[in-house]
Amino acid sequence: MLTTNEKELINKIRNGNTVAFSDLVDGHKDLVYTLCIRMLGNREDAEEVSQDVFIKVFTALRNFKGDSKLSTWIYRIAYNACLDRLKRTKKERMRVEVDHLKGSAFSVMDNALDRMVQEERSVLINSCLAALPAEDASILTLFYFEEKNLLEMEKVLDLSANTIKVRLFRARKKLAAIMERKFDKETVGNNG
Amino acid sequence: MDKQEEKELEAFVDKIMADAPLESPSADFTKNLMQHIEAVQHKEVYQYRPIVPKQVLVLIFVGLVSLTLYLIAQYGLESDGGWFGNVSVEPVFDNMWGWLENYTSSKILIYAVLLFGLLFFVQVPLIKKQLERNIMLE
Repeated sequence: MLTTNEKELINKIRNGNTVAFSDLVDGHKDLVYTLCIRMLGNREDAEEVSQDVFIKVFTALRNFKGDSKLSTWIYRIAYNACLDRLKRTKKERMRVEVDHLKGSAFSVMDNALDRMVQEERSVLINSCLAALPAEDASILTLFYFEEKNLLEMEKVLDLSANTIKVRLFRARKKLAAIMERKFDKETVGNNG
Repeated sequence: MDKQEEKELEAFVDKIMADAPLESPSADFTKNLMQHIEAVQHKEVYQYRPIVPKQVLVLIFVGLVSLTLYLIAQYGLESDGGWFGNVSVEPVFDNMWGWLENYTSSKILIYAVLLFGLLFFVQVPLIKKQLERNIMLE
């Protein structure tokens, strides 16, 4: 499961090499932080939880058996840390209604996205992801971080592949519904 | 939603997620984290470990208590019976400390010894604190 480089890096860290650990942090911090920010919805909490995640990684690394990819193991720690934080703060984002979603809307939204400049598109996508409930945001984020590998996702989320598929479908629908609503608002705003 | 629409939805979300930018934490994230990590590491290195393990201490304690109980049951609590009945310790003490009987010392010497003892115990927590600080900084 582990690559030779990862094995070497882990051995160095286990022998107390902190420089090797900072390399590991630099290699994974953006991914962990992105997952945290999409689940928690704010930068301060995401930064704090990301830091806790890496401290946990450092202390638990000696018990890591290597039965999954190193990144999968780190995502699992990050995902659980975010769930703990959400449980503690009891923050819940608004429910997303998906009933009004029209299948024909995808190509229209697709074209609209193509016409946007890169920066504008990134801001819009980020705001849509931020409006998703934590569970849906995490499942979508992890699906693409894990390069659509459901087996690795099973290890992160501790769920069966079928349950993940169902949740992925629901998350996709919610994301599209949020985006549709944003486009509707913008169209109304531009016309009015 | 039919199969075709599901596929379109999937392709649409694939495109969105491919464009979704990765977020980056603050610039000094790794630096701050490494400071925490080094503190954790030092705590691990200098974690207090008793020289005699707990199990051995418990064993010694149980052994002493049972030996005492056995001796009491066997010989009773009277001081002139059992073990010590035939042992005479007075001559030993007379030889060792007999010379002290006629010894007198000045008040100043007594005060000096007392003060020395007092200051010795004052130093203990100070030295302990100093050593701990130095070890933590290393």
